[in-house]
Amino acid sequence: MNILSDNSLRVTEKGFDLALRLPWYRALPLSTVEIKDVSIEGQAIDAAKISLKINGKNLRLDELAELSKEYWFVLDSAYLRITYQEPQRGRNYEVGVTLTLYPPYIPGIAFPHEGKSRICAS
Amino acid sequence: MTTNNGLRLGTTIYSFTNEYHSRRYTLDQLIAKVAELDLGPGVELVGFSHVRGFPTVTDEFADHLKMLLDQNGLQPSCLGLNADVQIRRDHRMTEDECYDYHVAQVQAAAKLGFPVVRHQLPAGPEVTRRLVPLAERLNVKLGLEIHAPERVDTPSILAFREMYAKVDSPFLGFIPDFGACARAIPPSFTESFRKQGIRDELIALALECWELSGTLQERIGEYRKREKAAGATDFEIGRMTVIFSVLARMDPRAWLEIMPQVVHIHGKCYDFDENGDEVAIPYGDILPLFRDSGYSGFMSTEWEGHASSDEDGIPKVQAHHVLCKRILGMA
Repeated sequence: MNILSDNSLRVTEKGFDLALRLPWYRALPLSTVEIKDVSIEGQAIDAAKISLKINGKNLRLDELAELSKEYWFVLDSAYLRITYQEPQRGRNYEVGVTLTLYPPYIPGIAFPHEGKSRICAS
Repeated sequence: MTTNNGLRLGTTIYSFTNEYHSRRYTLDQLIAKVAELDLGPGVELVGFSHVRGFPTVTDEFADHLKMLLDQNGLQPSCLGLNADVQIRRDHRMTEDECYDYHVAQVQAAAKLGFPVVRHQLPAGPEVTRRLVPLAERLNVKLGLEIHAPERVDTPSILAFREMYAKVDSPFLGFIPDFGACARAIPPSFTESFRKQGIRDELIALALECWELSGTLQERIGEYRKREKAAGATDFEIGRMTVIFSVLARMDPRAWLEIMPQVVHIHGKCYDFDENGDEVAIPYGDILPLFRDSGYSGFMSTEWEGHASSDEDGIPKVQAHHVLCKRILGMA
């Protein structure tokens, strides 16, 4: 299961929206999802420049650990809203993100997923 | 159509995780597929996979599911619940929180028309015991899944058996997962390890260690020791550890110890050979035990290869049904 796809990167007014899929077979509460190491063209993006758009909400990445009642439904995409200078449509960008799952019914186990992809920004 | 008055076949939609997750098939389409390919009559769902907003169930969804199953001549067999005890990473749920978490899920199962729920070990015997009055009132049986690396006689399962004996309710049951009585590691695992760049010598060593006797701790300890000595990295050791937690070598006859309490079955499968036999799990030995004991519930075909492969589950479930119908002498 891939976190990213060829259509994941979209140019927005402020930078990019990066669509993510949950790499699991069931919905998980956001408190069991950790997103970090977001990079574009090899440059780490500061957490202050990122929010997660999901279920009609915009969340900071450091808020997720508290959200045990907010579920990421398995079929839904969530979007990393990234502030980025002069994003260009039609240009390829090297995108990286680490998404780690901590399935709540398997205590003590972490499933890290590295999303690394060259995506054409639409 | 089955002519068997006892064990009835079916499928857990979990088997179609690749089709579902990729959005190539909707839940409705997968249920229709079960009917079209005669992979019922039982249909099992996983609450948190297949029901948006679970454990909240809208009237609309409940009516829609009922209509879908009725239209397709299928029956709801079991709903998979999850014991999300570590929903907060920094602390485990209290017993009361765990109880409440399960009450909502059992109520959801009843609303959806499922007669049995699959629940999991982390809930513990005490929470399970507390759920009995609700289960009785809603007519939903609580089936604890016995999944590798557990066996019928591991301490965790014995604790449940002890509680079951004290409470003595027909709403307390077990769900054998046949990965717990496997005889080998399926080729799809070794193939997946190879694709991840792990060399054959280390894979063969892992398979050897899987066959050792002793407790799970002892076997994994020996596995780690030998792999390290052979030069395996922590990453490689970590990747292959999965074989210890999804497959184990219990003798199938051990299921007889708990047979009267079996309320549902997970017919685990991975790979099939040229004769249509499941390569790792001895169905020829297992199914007659259940048939001859008079078990009259459902078995859900559960293909779990999607954890390491992008293949579709539909052909795998088909192969499993062909095999089981052959063994059980069904039309």
